[in-house]
Amino acid sequence: MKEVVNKILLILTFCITIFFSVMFIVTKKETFSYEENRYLSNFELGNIESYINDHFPFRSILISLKNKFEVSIGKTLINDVYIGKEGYLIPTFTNSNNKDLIIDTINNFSLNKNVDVMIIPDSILINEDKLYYHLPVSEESEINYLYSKLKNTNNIDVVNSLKLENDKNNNMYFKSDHHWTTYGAFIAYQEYLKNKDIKSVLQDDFNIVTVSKNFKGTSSSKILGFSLEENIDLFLNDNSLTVEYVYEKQTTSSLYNLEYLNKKDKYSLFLDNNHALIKVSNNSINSNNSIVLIKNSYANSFVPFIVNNYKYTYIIDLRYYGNSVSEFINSNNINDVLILYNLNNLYSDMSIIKLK
Amino acid sequence: MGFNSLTFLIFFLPIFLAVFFLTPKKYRRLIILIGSILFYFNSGLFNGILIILISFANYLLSIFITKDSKYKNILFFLTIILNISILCFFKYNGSLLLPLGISFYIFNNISYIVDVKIKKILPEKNLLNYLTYSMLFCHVTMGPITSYESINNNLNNLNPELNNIYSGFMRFLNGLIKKVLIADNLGLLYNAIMNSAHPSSPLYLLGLITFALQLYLDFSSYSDMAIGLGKMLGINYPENFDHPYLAESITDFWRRWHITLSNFFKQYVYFPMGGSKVSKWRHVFNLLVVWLLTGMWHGNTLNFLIWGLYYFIIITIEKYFLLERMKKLPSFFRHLYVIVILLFGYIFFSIKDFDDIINFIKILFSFDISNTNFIFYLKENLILLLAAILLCLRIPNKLTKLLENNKVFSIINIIIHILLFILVIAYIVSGSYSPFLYNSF
Repeated sequence: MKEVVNKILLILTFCITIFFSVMFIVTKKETFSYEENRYLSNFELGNIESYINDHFPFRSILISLKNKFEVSIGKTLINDVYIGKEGYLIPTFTNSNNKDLIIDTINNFSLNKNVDVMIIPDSILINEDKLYYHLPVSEESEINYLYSKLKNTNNIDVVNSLKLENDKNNNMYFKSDHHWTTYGAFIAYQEYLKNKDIKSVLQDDFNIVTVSKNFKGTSSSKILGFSLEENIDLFLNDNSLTVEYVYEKQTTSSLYNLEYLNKKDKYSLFLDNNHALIKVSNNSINSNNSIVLIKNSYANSFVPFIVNNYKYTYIIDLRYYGNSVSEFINSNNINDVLILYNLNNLYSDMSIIKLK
Repeated sequence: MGFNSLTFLIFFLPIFLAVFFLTPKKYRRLIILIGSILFYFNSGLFNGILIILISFANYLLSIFITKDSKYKNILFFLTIILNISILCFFKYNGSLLLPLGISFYIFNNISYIVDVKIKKILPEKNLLNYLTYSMLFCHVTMGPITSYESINNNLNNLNPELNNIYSGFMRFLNGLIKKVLIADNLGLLYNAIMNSAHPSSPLYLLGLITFALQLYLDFSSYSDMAIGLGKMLGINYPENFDHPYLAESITDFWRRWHITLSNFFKQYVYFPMGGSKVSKWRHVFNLLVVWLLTGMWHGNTLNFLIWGLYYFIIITIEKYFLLERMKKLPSFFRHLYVIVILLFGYIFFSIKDFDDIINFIKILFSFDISNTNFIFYLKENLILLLAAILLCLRIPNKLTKLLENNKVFSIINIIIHILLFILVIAYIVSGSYSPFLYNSF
């Protein structure tokens, strides 16, 4: 009997193997994976293993299978994303050993300037109640720590208002993406206005339009097999804007590039993803006030709000911008400076240390 | 191209096996050589040329060593020194990438030279035959370390019986499953624990247990795959492990762990120095030499030397004092003693930096359990850890033996293995591929 079992297994495994190798050879090789939202590796001699891996037949089905199996044996943390309740896929928070560097950079930069700082918590803090048994979330104490060390800036707390609002509608963050929603960005915007003593606006002042009903974000790319489809809502009004992508020398009248709605990476519709320097002029405003926003991608959905209060909004992404921001501020007579980052990316991409 | 890579599993192995079995018996040795060259050169041109040069040098020198001349003893020592120097050069020169399997194939070459010198075997006249032994893809990367005599006898008659092909394949498949589904996931858990921002005593204890399980399952799964492959081709490899964590003393453990390496040191270092049949102090000295060498073989950092010394001390104490007295202890306490000694020893084995070792020990013995992170890791990985522990015991083998003639069990067995095989592919495709731990030794 033992021999028969072994024989059958040898034959079956051999067939499966041949099936995969034949399928691998005959299937068309894509260059981009829609589901995983990344480019697949090219054929190179030193790189055969990752080439085979990336172009393996039924790759996404196999990865989903692996994830489903892991969940079935009790895992909730896969590929640095927690599988939470109600379809939430929540990225973990990664702490940093370089906090002092971040703090020093901002403190040096903000010496003799009016600088506001908004560090946005991530979904893991605001949606902690959606997690099953999990590691302690330390984001709140991290933000408090940073704020206590940032001496020269006006530090605006958004944790509480996001928490409060999320308790009502559960809509501050996407379920399948690491970004906040426009609702989350709106709460931060209100918080900013309150802090700057500017007249606040209401949600009703905007026309809220759902532009996508099938958004699957970055977390769903990290754990295939678990994502829901979500809405992307935009807050629209009838301001007349000029949006200038300075280095690309392109000008449009919209803050949204709706071509991204046909792609996987739909969050990129805000401000056409990330650019070194964008200048937005609000033609409906008469005064000449201006703001520089030093930011990462979280701010892309914040910009549609802030442009309502400034004639000129300059948006600088330090990942791509190499010049001195201080010089930029001086030469353009900027009134306000806002540093807006979400905590996780502030720590992980470290682009902030290029701030000078 | 490790045994657990898609390149090997989906392309190399099926093609190689098909060609091998379709080739008449007398040419199969050549097929193995060609397969081994393809397999090995995949790790890099330099590596490939190096192993061929080293093998060629040993092949030539072995012939000169047996020629009657007054220089033959000097030549023998020079050959040994040459081999060791090459190994040390690559191992202790931190800036170079370690050529694949060099720690293992150099030992094979040394064993061949010594066996020729002591006239256990005649020098091989056919270079290709010697090259096949030296480069054989089943054992070139991570052993088992074998004698030329046994492998060459097999290579002369590559005609495996059908049931050996089947059972060899099962051994390979089970090894693969063990490596990809268990050992690699233990590795992820271990890394998560070691990188935890909030370490605590129980967390580090869990880390040590995880490492112990990973190291054994990783290396023994590789050995299963190598032995299984060999069996399919008609090559009989010696066993490398015998349930080491069931040992009842540390001396016993080292008879069950990486057996072919222990045998190598015994046969080529310990016994020639007189072994235990010498004065007490000389015996202790012999043990010291063997354990320092064992430590140095595993790595070029100080921690491995400490690790070697640690086992030297424990083995010496056991031999002269403890072993006799332990016999009276209930077996539970003997097991507990072994586990505690092993876990503590793994601190020096798994952490390279000295400050990190001190820090780890401080936290481990702080008995601070205010942080409950370990419960999360335990909960997430409970089934994994239980499966890993089960695989260290004799139960799985006993159970399979008991039920192997049961029809229902056989069908379930087939289904489970096929599902696990597909899952293995899913895991590798998901990018969880990681090389075997002993690749770096």
